[in-house]
Order: sequence, then C-alpha cells, then structure tokens
Amino acid sequence: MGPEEITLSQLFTPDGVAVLARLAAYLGAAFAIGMAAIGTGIGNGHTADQACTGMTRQPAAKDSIFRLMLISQAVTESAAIFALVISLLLIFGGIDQPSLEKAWALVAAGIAVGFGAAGAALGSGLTGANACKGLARHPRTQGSLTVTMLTAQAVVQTSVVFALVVSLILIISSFPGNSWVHAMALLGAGISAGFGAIGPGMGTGFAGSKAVDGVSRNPSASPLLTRTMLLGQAVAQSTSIYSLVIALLLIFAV
Amino acid sequence: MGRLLPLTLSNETGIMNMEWINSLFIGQEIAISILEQIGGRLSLLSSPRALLFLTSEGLGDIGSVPQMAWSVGQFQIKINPLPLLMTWLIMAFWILLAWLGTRNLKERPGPLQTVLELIVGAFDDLCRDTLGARGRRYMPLVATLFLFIVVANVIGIFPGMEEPTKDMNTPMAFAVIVFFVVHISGFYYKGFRYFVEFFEPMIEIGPIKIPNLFMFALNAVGEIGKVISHAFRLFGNILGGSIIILVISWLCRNFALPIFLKAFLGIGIGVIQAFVFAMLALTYVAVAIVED
Repeated sequence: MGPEEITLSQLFTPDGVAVLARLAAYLGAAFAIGMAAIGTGIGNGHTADQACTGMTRQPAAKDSIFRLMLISQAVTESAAIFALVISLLLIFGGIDQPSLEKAWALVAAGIAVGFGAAGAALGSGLTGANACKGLARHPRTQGSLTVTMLTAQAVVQTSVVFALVVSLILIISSFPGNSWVHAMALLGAGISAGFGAIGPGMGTGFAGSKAVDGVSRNPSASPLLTRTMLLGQAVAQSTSIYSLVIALLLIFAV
Repeated sequence: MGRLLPLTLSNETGIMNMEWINSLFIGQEIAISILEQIGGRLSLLSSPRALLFLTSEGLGDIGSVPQMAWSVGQFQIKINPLPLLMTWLIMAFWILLAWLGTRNLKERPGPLQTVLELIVGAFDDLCRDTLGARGRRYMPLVATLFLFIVVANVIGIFPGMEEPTKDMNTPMAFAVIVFFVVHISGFYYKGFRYFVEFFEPMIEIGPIKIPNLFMFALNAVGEIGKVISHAFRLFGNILGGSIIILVISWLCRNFALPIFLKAFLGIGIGVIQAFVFAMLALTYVAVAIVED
C-alpha cells in the first residue's frame, strides 16, 4: 500500500505506521521552530528596543551599543538554532524502524526543544536588553558588562540545552515497540523537558537582567554580582534539571 | 523499549550513535560504556566533501564517521581519527605561534608579540577581576580553553577541515576537566568545609545538626547538570551550525553559499561560544573557591 492510499483510520495499524511516523515528524518540526520563534522574536525585539532607547540617551556610544546588541542577539538566536536543527533533522532525517512509539517520540522531540527554546530566548533577550540599557547609562563599563551578559545568557540557555539533549535522545534512539503506554511516556518526556525549561529560562533571565543592570550602576561590585547571580540562577535552574531527570526516567525507565 | 538496540539515525549509515547514553542507564554495562565513550560516535554530521554525495532523494548519505577500533579482551577501544587529527593540528598551531612569538622577546614588541601579549593580558585581567590574587593560578586553564576552542570552532571555514568540537567527545572532555578542577580547587581552598556545604541547610534537632541528604542529592544532580549543559551548549551550537549549512546548501544546491554561511556561523557563533565556555569555567571556579 502506497503512502497516499493510507486513510486516517488505517494510520494506527501496522500498515500505516510508517506514514504515521513521517506525519509525526512533520508535526514535531512545526512545534519546534514555531514555539521557538515566538520566544526568540520577543527576546530579540526586547534587546533591539532597549538598544534604540539607549542610543537616544547616549548617541556618542552608538557603536558599542550596536555591537553589544548584535552579540546579545546572536546568543539569543542560538536557542532558535537548536530548534531549527531539530526541525531540520525531523524533516530530512530518515526514520529508523517506524513504530507507534517512535511517532510519539518525534512529536515529543519537537515539543521539548520548541518550548524550551521559547523560555530561554525570552530570558536571554531580557538580559541583553538590560545590558544595552546599562551600556547607555555607563559606556565605560563595556568590558565587564559584556562578560557578565554573556555569562548570564549562557546560564539562561542551560534549560534549552537540556531540552536539546532530550530531543536528540528521542530522535536518535530506536523505539520499535507499539505500546500506547510507552508512547505516552515518550510524549510525557518531551512535555516534561519542554515545559520544564520555560520557567527556568525566564527566571534565570530575570536574574541575569538585574545583574547586568547592577554592573552598569556599580561596576566595582561586578565580581560579587556575577557570583550571586550565578548562585541564584543555579537554584532557579534546578527545576529544569528535575524535569530533565523525569524526562530521562520516562524515556529509559518506564 | 528496545533500548539495547544500536541507535542510529538512518538504516544505511551510522550517522549518529548514542549507544553510550543508553548504556549509562543499564548499570552493569557502565564499565564498558565508559571505554566506548572514549571513542563514542556521537560525532560529525556534515563535511564539505560529503555534500558532493547528496542526491535528490534527500539527506540520505550525510557521510559516515571514520573510526578505528581495537579489541582489547572483551572491550573495544574506538578512536575517531579525524577529530583527533584536528585536535593535534590546533595544538601544533598554538605551540608554533607561541614559539614564534616568544623566540626573541623585546622591550618594544613586534606585531606577533603584541598580539600575544594582548591576549594573555586580557585573560590575566579577567581572572584577577573574578578571583583576586588566586586568578594567576587559573589563568592558564581559562585562556587555553578559549584559545583551543576558538580555533576549533573556526577551523571549519577552511576546506577539508572539520571542527573537533562537533564531536561530542571533545566538549565532554573539556567539561569533565573543568568539573574536576572546580571541585578539587574547592576542596583545596576550603578543605572539608567545601563538602559540608553540599549538605546545607542542615536539619537541626535542638543542638544536633544532621546532614541533609536530600539537599545533597539536589546539589549533586545540579553539579552533574552543569557538566552536561557545559558540554552540550558548545556541541549543540557547533553541530547545529553544520547541520544548518548542510541542509541549506542541499536545498539551494549551491556550492558557494556554504562558505559564507560557515564564515557567519563559525566566526560569529563559534567565537562567542568559545568565550562563553571559558567564562563559565572561570565562574564555576569562582563560585567554588571565593569566600565572602
């Protein structure tokens, strides 16, 4: 039976499972890049917004503000790059041993990295926005401001990195079975990793944005601020680690 | 759930193989997996040469990982020659540059000496700002991480070269090095108190303090999470860049475009990620050793 002849009711039969897996891969690809685009767009827009405001206040520093904005946006963009990669893998990658479980795993892979990227990109966009604002306030702090911003954004992106790990495992592993229980466990793994990354991504972004704000107000406190920020972010981040653990348990232990 | 099967992306080519991740969860195979992981195959995807073989059937043949394997008793030792070769090339590059730059040091430095002094001076300042007087001790590690990774990320621009950071083994090795450096220096400077901190806040029953095992579990998972995120952040960015280049150049069947894309992703993303990797190593050390 050719792929075109499969009807909706036959999708879940052994004949239709190859089509089902393909379909799931496309759905997952849409989830991944669609959700990631929301967060990344808003985050990057925030940064550009504050860069414009900053240039209005301090036109003399326009070059360094512009440079900082581009650096920040490139880092924010890497969350979307993760999602784009997963999308491309889902669309163009071959599906090894299509099965019911594999189909749900592919949808889950898209959900994980999509939602994860949304949160992390929002958070790191917020950090970049405050860095641009701070640079306009105090152009001499450019060096320590850039370093603090990059460190903060790297930690913010930890949650999307965890989501990416789960997505890669879901895409690359083979799940030959056809059990609905395991299929839903795999979907749950994707939801856990993806939704679990939204909050930590935004929360660590709040911490990062206030830290860069503080560096621009009081440059001498920057080592203290960076350390405090990192400790606070580690606590905020821990929930995304829990969801990573739950996702791995759902994939490998259920 | 079939987790003992070899895990491959497609049937024909073993593009990505994550057996080691699987076997991490199977207890008895951990010993084997660690050995396998040394030559594990979660590596490469694209190379400019492999683009030649792309057909209209899609991204079927992305290229396989050249691997050498030896059997030692019941274990198999695998090596990925290409990342290894690139790693040695980068090391040779920096050693040669350092030798040329320091051959005859002058009061009024020549161009090469000036550049090298700028790099070393910048990292020296950075480490001293973060760690104070102890910064000197960590400057070589942080600067080396940056210098190695920045060349590793950019080297893909040159035809025939492959980024060694695209192979999971390279970033993972760096992250594990940083992990050990952080905890050993924490123990070195704070003594036993460093490990006690993992159990805080303690449970207090009257005057007796009981170590909080629950907090220890949370902290330990957090520390392992740091290693995973540290390694995968670099790996994901570099691998992601190459997959995007591969797919886009396949879509437009254009041979010139990948070079420009590589320049953007390699220089733009690669340099930032190298700096982020080094800075995170520095801040992890700072969190472990600095006392207020």
